[in-house]
Amino acid sequence: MTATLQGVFGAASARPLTAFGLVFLLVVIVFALASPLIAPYAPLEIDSLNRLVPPNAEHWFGTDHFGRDTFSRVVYGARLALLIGIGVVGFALMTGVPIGVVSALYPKIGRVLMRGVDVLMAFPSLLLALGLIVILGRGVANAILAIGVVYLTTTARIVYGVALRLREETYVEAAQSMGAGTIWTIRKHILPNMISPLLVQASFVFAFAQLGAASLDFLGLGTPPDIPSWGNMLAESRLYITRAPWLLFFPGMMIALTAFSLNLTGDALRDHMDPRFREAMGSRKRM
Amino acid sequence: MWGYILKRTAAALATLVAASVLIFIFIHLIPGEPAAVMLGDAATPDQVAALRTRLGLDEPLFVQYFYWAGSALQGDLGRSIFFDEPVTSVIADGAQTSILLASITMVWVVLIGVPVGVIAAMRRGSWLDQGLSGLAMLLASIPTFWVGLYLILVFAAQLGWLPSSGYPSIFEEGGLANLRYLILPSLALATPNAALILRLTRASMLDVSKEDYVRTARAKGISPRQVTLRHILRNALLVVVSAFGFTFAALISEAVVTETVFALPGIGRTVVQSILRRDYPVIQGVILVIVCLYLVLNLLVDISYRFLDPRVELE
Amino acid sequence: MLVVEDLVVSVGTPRGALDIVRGVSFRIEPGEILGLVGESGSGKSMTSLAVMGLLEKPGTRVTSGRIAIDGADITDATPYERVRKGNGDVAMIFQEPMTSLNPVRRIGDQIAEAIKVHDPEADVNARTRELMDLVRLPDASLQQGAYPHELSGGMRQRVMIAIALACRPKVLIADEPTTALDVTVQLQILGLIRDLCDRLRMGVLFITHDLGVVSQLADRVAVMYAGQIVETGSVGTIFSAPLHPYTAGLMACVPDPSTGHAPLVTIPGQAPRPDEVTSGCPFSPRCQYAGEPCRDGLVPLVRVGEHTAFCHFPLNMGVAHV
Ligand SMILES: Nc1ncnc2c1ncn2[C@@H]1O[C@H](COP(=O)(O)OP(=O)(O)OP(=O)(O)O)[C@@H](O)[C@H]1O
Ligand SMILES: [Mg+2]
Repeated sequence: MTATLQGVFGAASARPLTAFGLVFLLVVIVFALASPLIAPYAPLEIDSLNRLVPPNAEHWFGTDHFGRDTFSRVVYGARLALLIGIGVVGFALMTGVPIGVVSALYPKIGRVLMRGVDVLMAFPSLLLALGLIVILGRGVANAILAIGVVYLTTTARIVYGVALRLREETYVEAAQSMGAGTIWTIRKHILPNMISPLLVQASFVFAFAQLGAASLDFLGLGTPPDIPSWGNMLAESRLYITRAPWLLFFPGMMIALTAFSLNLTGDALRDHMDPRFREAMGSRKRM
Repeated sequence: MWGYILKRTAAALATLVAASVLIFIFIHLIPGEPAAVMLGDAATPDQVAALRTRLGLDEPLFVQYFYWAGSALQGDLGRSIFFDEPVTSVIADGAQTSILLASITMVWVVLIGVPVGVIAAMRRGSWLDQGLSGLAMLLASIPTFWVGLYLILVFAAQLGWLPSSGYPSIFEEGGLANLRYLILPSLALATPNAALILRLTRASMLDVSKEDYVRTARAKGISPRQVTLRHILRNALLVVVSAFGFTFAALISEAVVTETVFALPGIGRTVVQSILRRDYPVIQGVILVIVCLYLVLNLLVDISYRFLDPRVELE
Repeated sequence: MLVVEDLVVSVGTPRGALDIVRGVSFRIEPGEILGLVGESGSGKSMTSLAVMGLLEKPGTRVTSGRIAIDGADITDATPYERVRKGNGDVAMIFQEPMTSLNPVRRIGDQIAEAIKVHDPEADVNARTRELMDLVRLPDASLQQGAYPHELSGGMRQRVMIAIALACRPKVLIADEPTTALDVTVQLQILGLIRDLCDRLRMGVLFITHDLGVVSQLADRVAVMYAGQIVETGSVGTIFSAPLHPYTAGLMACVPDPSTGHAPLVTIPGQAPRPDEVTSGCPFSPRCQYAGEPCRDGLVPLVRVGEHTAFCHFPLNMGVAHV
């Protein structure tokens, strides 16, 4: 774990782009944690006298069609970005890890579980998420769940791959032949080795969850419209793209750079990962 | 070989059956009585009862499934509640646009992603490579609809070069010139996917160039260009080609957003509108068709991969 | 004739350049097999790749010294550059026959590719058959269309040799070509190499860990330790009367073939990693005969006829050399 983190920071000093990514993520986190302190206006504060004002000294990022301050909304949007990211990653790990580990340790159950994962993977990711939204209804928690199911599948596959490799490795076999319990094997041998592949996967999932959530918002099927998410801001800006292009620029930039930074972090982590597990990572699945 | 094809086809069919069960029970998972949900709040109890009978909702669930799957096999996916016409014809209307859009996009992806990836790999570590790889990572992180909106802003609204929305079929008035309606949407859709293929191409070129057989090729004294073309590129493309099927299917799904941005009459937009209209038979139908398409594409890619790569044991 | 003089090869590390091969000299006459032996990590592969012009890893390069074949300087030249200058006559076979052939191309094509470069005039098909016969690949016509995965390890190594011979080499470098093969196949391949060497009057640089193999196959032996050749001589003299204590130690480590028992002696300690090598004799920290002069400064060259070693306190000096 510490070695992995050292790896990231080492890579960050060697690669300026990775350093940029880490700094940008820090900015997003600060925005999210300290939004009321940073945002000059309330995100929902309507100012009908100052509609569609271009960026200026008072409104750094301009205002929207209700006269709401774009900068403040962007700052508050970071909260949602973080919430969605943590939610999706949390869900994907809490479901994908047990599925993958159990499948690797008990081949009989595994055959069924992993076939189930295959079936879910036959659904293109956005369609799967949309289908779940139809069942669950619109809302933040439901968006998290819908995107989470998409990444449950990739996470389970990766964990399964890594756990299979580990199971075949001599020390796990030796531990098992010496009568070590399964739980003990998992805790002692499988989970510790899983940390760095999971960190890499978590960065990618976090990144693509942003894009998935933005797509749902844009289609009007994600975050409720009264919540200032970056995706909602983009959806609303559509009608004003020629009159107020800044409304398009800033939220889109935030989404893109957040996903970009997370992808960079994931890459840096992967470069420092045990090469044995790298192939189990597969290619990233964009939403 | 035939054994392998049979085996893979059987596996794909099994997946399809499992997926169809999921798609079928989907409307039963929506809270509320399916018929009432479909008809909306304004429906009278009589209408609900009529729809129940029409959809066979009074039968046991598994009977309903076999009824539904049986009709689907015969090409009958039910009737659209909104349009009151067969789901198949609603899908057929949109499919033409979507497949054309995905195909044009695929052309961009291949024409841009692969060669640029090769160039980056050949100049490994140079400024060009670092710039291209960084740019590709950035482009892969951008929402397609954002790219689409910017393309509209610049090329349609400001420069007026290309239309910003809609697509009259190439079989209608205007003919092939109507393809210009698909230029901006396909570029938007191609952006992240070309970037991902670029990175994949570069990475597999670099992986292959570390192989022992590449050293053997160099030892023969053939030119570096030939080493790259005949040994590295050729083997690296095996990996890239196997990603094409996956990418094509991903395009159909991502087109949901792109078609909405550009107001294209494709199946992606049909899905979104059907969700808003609660036209469940259409949603079920479209998803079933796309899953089929995905499985068929993957099957074809898998099989052609075995033809291209003699290593794989032909069971 | 291949001549290597004072070859130094260094690699780039985060802490700067590091010499892996540290002043290696040897020569190989036509029709002669020189066995290069030494522990893992002593720089044997690095030496052979340098001769071949295949140092590919960024930062890895020949920093000084000279490599020449029949008087033509080929230092730093890649195989392609050598072919263009008409010196395409060093070829190499590698340890891993399983991974050294392109898995998706027919073996006939892989041999033909080398023929087209080195014999542009030749009838490619006929020459391919000829080479396949030369390395005793049965059913040449059938095997030509085969893919590497359809062949056994021994067969693949024969294909590798055919590719090497297609380069019409004056010198063939074989880097542990039989380590990955089982014993009977190993013997066949060794026999083939000896035979080809004699018939084609080709020099061979044969790299191995295995002293048994060297004693059967090679004409002369060079012993490498920590990036240097510490002793060179004909097989007979090296095995009967090694000068360098390291060579003597190595031979004591070989299990007795008559009893098959594990070796009684092992050399204490470990070979230094390339970044640990200090001045003086690199073997001195492990050497039971080492004295004060060994720790520092240049090590003298002792010469008994053609048999040479770098050592302050050589063994067997009194023994009559055969
Ligand atoms: N890029 C590098 N950076 C640092 N050290 C390196 C690098 N490349 C090779 N080395 C070191 O060079 C030394 C010589 O390697 P080489 O492969 O020539 O040994 P060898 O004698 O062929 O061993 P073996 O018998 O195992 O094949 C090794 O100790 C290796 O660790
Ligand atoms: Mg070696």
